[in-house]
Amino acid sequence: MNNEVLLLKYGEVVMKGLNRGYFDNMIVRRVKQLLKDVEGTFSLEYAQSTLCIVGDEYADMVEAAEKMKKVFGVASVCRAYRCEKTVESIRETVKEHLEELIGDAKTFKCEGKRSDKSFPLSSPALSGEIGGTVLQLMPHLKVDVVNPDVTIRLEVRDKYAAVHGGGEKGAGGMPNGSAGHGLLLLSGGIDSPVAGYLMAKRGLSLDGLYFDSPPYTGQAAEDKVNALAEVLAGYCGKFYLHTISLTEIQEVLMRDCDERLFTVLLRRFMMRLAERQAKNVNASALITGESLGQVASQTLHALTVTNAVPELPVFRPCIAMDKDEIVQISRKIGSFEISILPYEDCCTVFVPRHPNTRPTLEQILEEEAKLDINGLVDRAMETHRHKKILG
Amino acid sequence: MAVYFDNAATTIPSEGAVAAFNKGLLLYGNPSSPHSAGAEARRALEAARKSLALQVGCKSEELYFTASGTEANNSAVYGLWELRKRYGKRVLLTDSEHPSVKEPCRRLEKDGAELVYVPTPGGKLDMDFIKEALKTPTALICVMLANNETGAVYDIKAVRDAITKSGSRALFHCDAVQGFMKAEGYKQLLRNADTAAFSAHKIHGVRGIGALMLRSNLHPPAFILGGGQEKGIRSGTENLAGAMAFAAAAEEYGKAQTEKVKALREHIENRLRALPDVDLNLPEKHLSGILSISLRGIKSETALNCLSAEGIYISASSACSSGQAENSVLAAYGLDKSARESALRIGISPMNTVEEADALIDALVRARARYGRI
Repeated sequence: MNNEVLLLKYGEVVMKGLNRGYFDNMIVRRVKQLLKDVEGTFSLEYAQSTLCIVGDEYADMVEAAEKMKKVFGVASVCRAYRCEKTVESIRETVKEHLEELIGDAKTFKCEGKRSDKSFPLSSPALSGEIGGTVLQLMPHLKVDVVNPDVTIRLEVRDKYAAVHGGGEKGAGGMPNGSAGHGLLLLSGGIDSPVAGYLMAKRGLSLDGLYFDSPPYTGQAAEDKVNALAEVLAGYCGKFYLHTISLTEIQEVLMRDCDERLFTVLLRRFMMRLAERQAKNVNASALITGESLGQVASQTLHALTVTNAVPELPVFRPCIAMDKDEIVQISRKIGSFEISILPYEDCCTVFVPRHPNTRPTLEQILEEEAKLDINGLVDRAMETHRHKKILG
Repeated sequence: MAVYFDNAATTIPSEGAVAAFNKGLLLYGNPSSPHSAGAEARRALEAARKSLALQVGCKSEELYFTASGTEANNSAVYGLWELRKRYGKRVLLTDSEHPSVKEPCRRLEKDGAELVYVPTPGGKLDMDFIKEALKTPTALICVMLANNETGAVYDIKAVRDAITKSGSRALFHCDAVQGFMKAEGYKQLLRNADTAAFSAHKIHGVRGIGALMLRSNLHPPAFILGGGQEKGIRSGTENLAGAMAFAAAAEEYGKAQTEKVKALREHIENRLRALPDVDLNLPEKHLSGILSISLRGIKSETALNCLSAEGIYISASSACSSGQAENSVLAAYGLDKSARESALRIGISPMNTVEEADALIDALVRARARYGRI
């Protein structure tokens, strides 16, 4: 009999009050979506802030567990064996899976947890009872209640009991889409995918916006952004990637404006275009990968000037992070290796030799007075195209 | 219809190669099997070997099929090192070797090898450097026949002379992947090498097959162990279809093809010379099929994207400015940064036409006029 199940323990959502169901449903929807691609048939049972995933005899529980680690809102994912709520049944289950639970550990403890108080043994009594059985079967083991190599957990829940060796950390955060919809400015770099991941983790569903600049940027750069979008889609489900071309804007800025202000002027155009696109897709926030002081366009002065454009809130989750902290997250979510592929992106095409790191709004407005801003933005919006990325 | 001028990267398989490949696929027997089907496959494999050896200019028992030029280079470097590492720790290689030679050599450093890079400014071997370097006991020297980025043909004979004159016992490996069938007098040149590496897909064969030439007096240890195929040098069931396509492609690539490429190159060069601010990066001796230029004022990647949008394919010799992979071969050649950033590689094949060449140049001119900044 396949009595292996996955227990998904919910995180922060358990603190919610009357609207709890709204969040729970979102987790369940995402779980179902991800399980569609896993071999086997699964059913879900929810009780006591824990979602129990039961698979049929063909179910690939290993892959299912891996996928569940990407579900936002889930604090831990644990592969467990489910059994009847009797001491004997728990004992038999532990016996059956003992080698797997113990591995090459030398010390262990049993930790009973009785949430059903009608169960005849108290939690410590259950631990002692089962611990004794383990010691009988494996006399070489020693009990260590402070720092054991392995902890065998015995959960007596309302409807069933479960035995497992502890869970793995889940993705945490809030369920996908529970906080609303945001538009991520996605470049080919390291920071923006991380920013998207972090905001998705806090419950935003995402659309992505990529700026290309043909022919300065090419197919290879676009393929790279697609690959990054796929990584993000693995966490937040389906995802629309929008592309808008900046070629004309960049050429006009290069020709008509002060070269030292090029980058900040361009960033302001990106914000204008992003805000238009956000309205088209009902996004209520913009997300960027900016990190304070990282490059000339990310000094406090430059950010102030860029930030003066949009009315929507701009979320910059990487703002206080060092590059190595961003890289660490980037490696964890699997975007790093893609981000470091060497292709031109729209930010590297025209790089002023001496960018002004302390631009003022007056200077910028003076430069922008030379331009037909609405015309440039309108024409850039006409280059818009989009693509559905499946996670 | 696509215009393909990236023939140094890979070539379009010739009709003859495809036909031979298809024929080989249906010779289903395992060449190691004793039954008739095996024997038939074995005969076809040996016929391909014999035919290819004729083109290489070696005995057929000196030619071993591999899965790629890269594999042949790796096997040669590791194998020759094992044979001579007790004689000397020095490994000489040019500063413009292909990564499939450079990287295995770098691995040898872990085994105590001391790598010494031979300068190749302007696409020419620094022979004085080699002579001086050979005074120290040297295990291995690697000099490619022709460079994959600049097309420079290196003087392999002078290398052999230097080894002989110095009395060094160094073994000599030559990466002939680009030069095979294309460098003038390549057969005589290759006689100077102890081992050489070849690849089918650079001469209108197919991918997945290469060859290693190994002199019969040398018995290096094998690195792919198994059933002992290819006289134990390279185990693994033979890629018969690939070998047959390789031989067919080599048979087809004759003087007429070389002449055609030469004429096309002349045409392209003449047209480029008429343009302002174009540097032809011409080594003194070079392959006709590889032309490296610097189209000043437009970044390689932009030019490439413009051409790609029109269905014209060439290659950028240099990586883009945002990339970390700075092109070391062009730096070794002696190009300055702006020349490297605007470097393009045109790979010409006998399948190209004058009309295609004109389309290429016209597209380059248009791209620079529209997107270049001088």
